[in-house]
Amino acid sequence: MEKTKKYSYGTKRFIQFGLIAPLVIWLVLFLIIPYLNLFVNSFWTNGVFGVQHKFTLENYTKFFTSGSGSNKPIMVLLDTLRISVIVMICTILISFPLVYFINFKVKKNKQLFYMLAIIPLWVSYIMRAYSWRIILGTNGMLNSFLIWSGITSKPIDAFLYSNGSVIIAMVHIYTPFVLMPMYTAMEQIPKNLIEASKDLGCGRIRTFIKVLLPLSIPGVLTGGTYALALSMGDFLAPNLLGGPTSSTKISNIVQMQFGTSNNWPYGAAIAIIIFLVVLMIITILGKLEKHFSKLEEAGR
Amino acid sequence: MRKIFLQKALAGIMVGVMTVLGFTGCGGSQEKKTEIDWSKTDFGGAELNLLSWEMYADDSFVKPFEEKYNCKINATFCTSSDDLIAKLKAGGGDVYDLVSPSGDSAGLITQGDLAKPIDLEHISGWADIPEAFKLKDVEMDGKIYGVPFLWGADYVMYNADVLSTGITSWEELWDAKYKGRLALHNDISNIYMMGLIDGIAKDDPQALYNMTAEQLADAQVKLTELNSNVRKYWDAGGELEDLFKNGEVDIAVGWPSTLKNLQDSGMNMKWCIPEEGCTGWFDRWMIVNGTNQEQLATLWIDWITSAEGEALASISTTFSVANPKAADYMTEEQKKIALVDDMDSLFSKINFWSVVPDREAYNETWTAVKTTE
Amino acid sequence: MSKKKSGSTIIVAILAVAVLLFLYLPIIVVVLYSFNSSSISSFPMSGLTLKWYVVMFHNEALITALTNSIEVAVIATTLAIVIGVPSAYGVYKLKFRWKKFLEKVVIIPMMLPGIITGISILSFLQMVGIIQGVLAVILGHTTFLLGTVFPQIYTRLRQLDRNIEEASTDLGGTGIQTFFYVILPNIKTAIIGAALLSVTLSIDEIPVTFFLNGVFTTLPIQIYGMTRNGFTPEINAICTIILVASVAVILISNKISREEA
Repeated sequence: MEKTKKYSYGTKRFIQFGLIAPLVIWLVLFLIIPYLNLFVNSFWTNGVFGVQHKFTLENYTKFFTSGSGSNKPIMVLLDTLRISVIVMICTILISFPLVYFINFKVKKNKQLFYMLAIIPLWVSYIMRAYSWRIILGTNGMLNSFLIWSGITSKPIDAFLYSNGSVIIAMVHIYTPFVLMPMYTAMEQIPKNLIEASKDLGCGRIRTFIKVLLPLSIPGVLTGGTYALALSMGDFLAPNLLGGPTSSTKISNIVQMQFGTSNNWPYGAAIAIIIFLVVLMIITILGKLEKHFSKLEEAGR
Repeated sequence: MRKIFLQKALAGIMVGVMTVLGFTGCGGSQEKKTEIDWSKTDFGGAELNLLSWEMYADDSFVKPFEEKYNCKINATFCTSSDDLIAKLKAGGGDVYDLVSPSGDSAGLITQGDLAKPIDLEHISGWADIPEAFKLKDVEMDGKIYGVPFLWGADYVMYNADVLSTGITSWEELWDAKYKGRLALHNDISNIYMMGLIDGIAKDDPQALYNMTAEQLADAQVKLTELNSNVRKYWDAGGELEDLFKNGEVDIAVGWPSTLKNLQDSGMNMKWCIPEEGCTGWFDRWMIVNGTNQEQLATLWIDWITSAEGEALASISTTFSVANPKAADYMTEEQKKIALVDDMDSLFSKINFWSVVPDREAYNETWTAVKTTE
Repeated sequence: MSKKKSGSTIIVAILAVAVLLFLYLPIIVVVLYSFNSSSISSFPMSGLTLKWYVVMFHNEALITALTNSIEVAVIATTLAIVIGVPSAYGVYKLKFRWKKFLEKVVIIPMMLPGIITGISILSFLQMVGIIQGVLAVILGHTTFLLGTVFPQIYTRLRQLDRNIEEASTDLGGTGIQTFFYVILPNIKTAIIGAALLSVTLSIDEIPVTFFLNGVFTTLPIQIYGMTRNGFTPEINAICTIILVASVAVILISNKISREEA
C-alpha cells in the first residue's frame, strides 16, 4: 500500500482535514457559539429595553421558586415532560403493529405500504394540527357522529381545547418520525432467526416476547427519543389545540420570553434547563439502546 | 430574480462570516441632510413594512396609497401589545418602517428610542385632531412621536341567537351558565379588566396600570376562577371569529372589528358595555427608528390620519376615528356604527390602556393564570 | 411461513389498518375541506366547489410564501449536502481526538427541541448584527439539516465494503479520485435520500424559522398566520396540491430506483 501513495502523509492529512473543515467551521459558528452564547445570556439581567450585562443567578432561582402549586415553572416543565412521555408511549404503541405488519405480514409492495405510512409527513404540520379542530370540535365530526348514533345527546366539549386534544394531535404528527427508525430496525431482524425460534418449539407469543421484542427495542428507543424531544419542544400544537390552562407548556413559556414577555435571559435559562433535561433523557435512552444492540449482535 | 436572490444570500453569508470573524466594518451610517422633495409621487415600487394590528392593512385604504405613490405595503400582524414590542425589538428599523401601537406600548417605544420624531408639517390632518386625543406619552423633548389613528373599546360581544341578553355587570361572566362558552384575549388586558371590576380605578383611572402586588394577586385569583368558563384565550381577531362561527363560544370580550365581520357573515351578534365600564385602546402610528423609508412612512401617516384615510379605515374596522373630519366621507349608517357623531358617550366609558411600568409582573401574573390547573 | 391466515395475523392486520386510519383521518379532512363551498371549516361540509384552488393561485402572499419556502429548502439542502457529504467522508476516513464529540454535536439540532436552536441562533445573529430574514432562515435551516444529512451519509459510508476503497487506492487512485469515482457512486442513493428528506423537513419547518424569519414568510409561517388572522380553505387547497405533488415525486423516484436496481 505504501508505494501507491502519491501524496505525502502530511498532504493527505491536510486534504482530509480540509474535507472536515467546512463542517467544523459551520458548527462552531452557527451551533456551538450560539449555544454557548445562550448559556452566557442566561446569567444576564433583563432590562425593559435590552439586556444588561450584569451577572445574576436570578433567572435560574426564579425558575424553581416563583409561583405556587401547578403554576411554578418547574411544575410546568414536569407537566410537559409527563405529556411528552404519554405522547412517546402512544406513538410507539401505535407504530408497533403497523411496522410489524408491514415487515412480517406484507409480502408484496412492502415499500409501498411503508410510503403509505409516512405520506402524512407531506401535509403541512399546522394543517395536521388544525384539522383536529374540525374533527374534535363542539360541532365537529366526532361529536356529530356520537349524537347521530345516539351515544350521547349533547356534544362533549372536552374533546377539544384540552390536554387530550394536544396529545392526540402530537401523537398523530410525530408517529411518522417514530415509525421510520422502528421500521429500519425491524427490517434488520433476520427472518430466519424467527423461524429458528419457532422451529425450536417456541410458541408464537414466546417468539414475540423472547426474540422479536428485544431485537426491535433499539429502533423503538431511537423513535421514542424523537417523539419525546419533538413534543417537549412543540409550542404550536398546545397553542392551536390547548384550552385556557392546557395551551401553555414549557416551550410556550420559553417562546413567550422571546416574544410577549420580553425576557430573553430568563428564556435562555429555561432553554438551558430543557436542554439538560432532554440531554439526560437521550443519554439514558442511548445507553439502553446500546445495551439492547449488543444483545442483538449476540443474537446473531 | 432568483439569481439576485442567490447573490444576496451568498453576499449575506460572506458578510455574516466576516462579521463573526471580527472584521466588523464601521456601522455608523451618516445621515445625509439633503433636501427632501415632498412633491414626489413615484417611489418606484419601494416597499413599506408595517407592524400593525391585523385590521390595519385592509385593501380599502392600502390600495389608494400604493397607487398614489407607486409603492408596496407589506404588513406583519401582532397579536398583542407585548407581541408588537417583541417583534419591534427583534427586528427594528431594519425590518419595519411603521408601527401602530396601542396606549400601553406607545410610551415604551418612545422612551426606548425605538421611534423617530414625526415631521408634523407634512401631516395634513394634525390640526383637525382634537387636543384631548394628543396624549403626552408619545411626546419627548417637545417632539411628537405618534399620530392618533383609531380607538375603540374591549367590549362584550355575544351570539344573540343563543343568549337573549348581554351582561349588565362584568361579575356575570363567572356565572356557571357560561361554563366553557367564553373567550377572552390572550393578553394582560384581562388584568386591567379585573382591576376595573374590583373598582380600583374609581379615583384614579391610571391605577389599573400600576396595580400593587396584592391587587395583582387578587386579579390572578379571579381570573383563575374564570378559567373554568373560558373555552379558549384567543390570540387574533380571526381566531375569535372562528370560535363563534364554529359554535365553540357564545360570549367573548373582543374588538368591534370582530363583531362587524361576524355580523357581515350573517351571525346575529350583539355587543354591550357593562355598568363598570370597560378598557380600550387608542392606537397611534409611529415611524420606526432606523427606517430608510422615512419620507414614505411620513406620507403613510399623512394619508391614514387624513379625513379620507380615517374614514376608509373606520368603515373597514368600525373603530372610532381620531380625526372628526372623517365624517365627511362616511354615510349616516357608517357614522352611526362607528359612533362618529357621538364620540363622547363611548369615550367616557373607556379606561384607555396606558404604559404599565412593571410589565414583567403583569406578564408573570398572566402566565400564572394560564398554568394553574 | 404460516399456511393459513392465523388469528394473530388478522388481529395485527386490523390494528395496522386502524393505525393507518388514524394517520389518514386528518389528511382526508384537509383534502376534503379544500372542496368545501363555505369558508368556515365546520362540520358538516356545506357543499362542493373548486373555487379555493382559483382563489389560492391569486393569493399573492401565499404563493410568495411557497416560493420562499422552496428557495430556502433548495439552498439550505444544497449547503447541507455540500458541507455534509465531504465531511462525513473525512470523519469516516480520519481518526482524531474529537471525532466522537463531532459526531454527537452535529446531530444536536435534530435531537433537541427545535425551539432551543431557534432562540440560540436568534440571540447570536442579533449579537453579530444579522437581521431576521431570508439569510437568518437559511443559516438556521442548514444548521439543523446538517444534523440529518451527516449521520445518514456517515452510516452509509460505514456500511460500505472497505475493500472497494482499498482496491481503488491499490490501483493507484488518489484520495480525491477514490472519493469521486468509487465512493460517490456507492453512496448516491443515500445522498438523494438525505436531500429529499432535507427538502421535506425544511419546507415544513417551524420551531427554528419562527424566531428567524422577521417579515420574510415561509409557507408554514404564512399558514400559521392565516389560521389566526382569517382561515380560508385556500390553505387546504395548497396543502392538497403539495401532497399530490410530493406523492407523485415519491412514486416516480421509487419507480426509477427500482428500474435501476
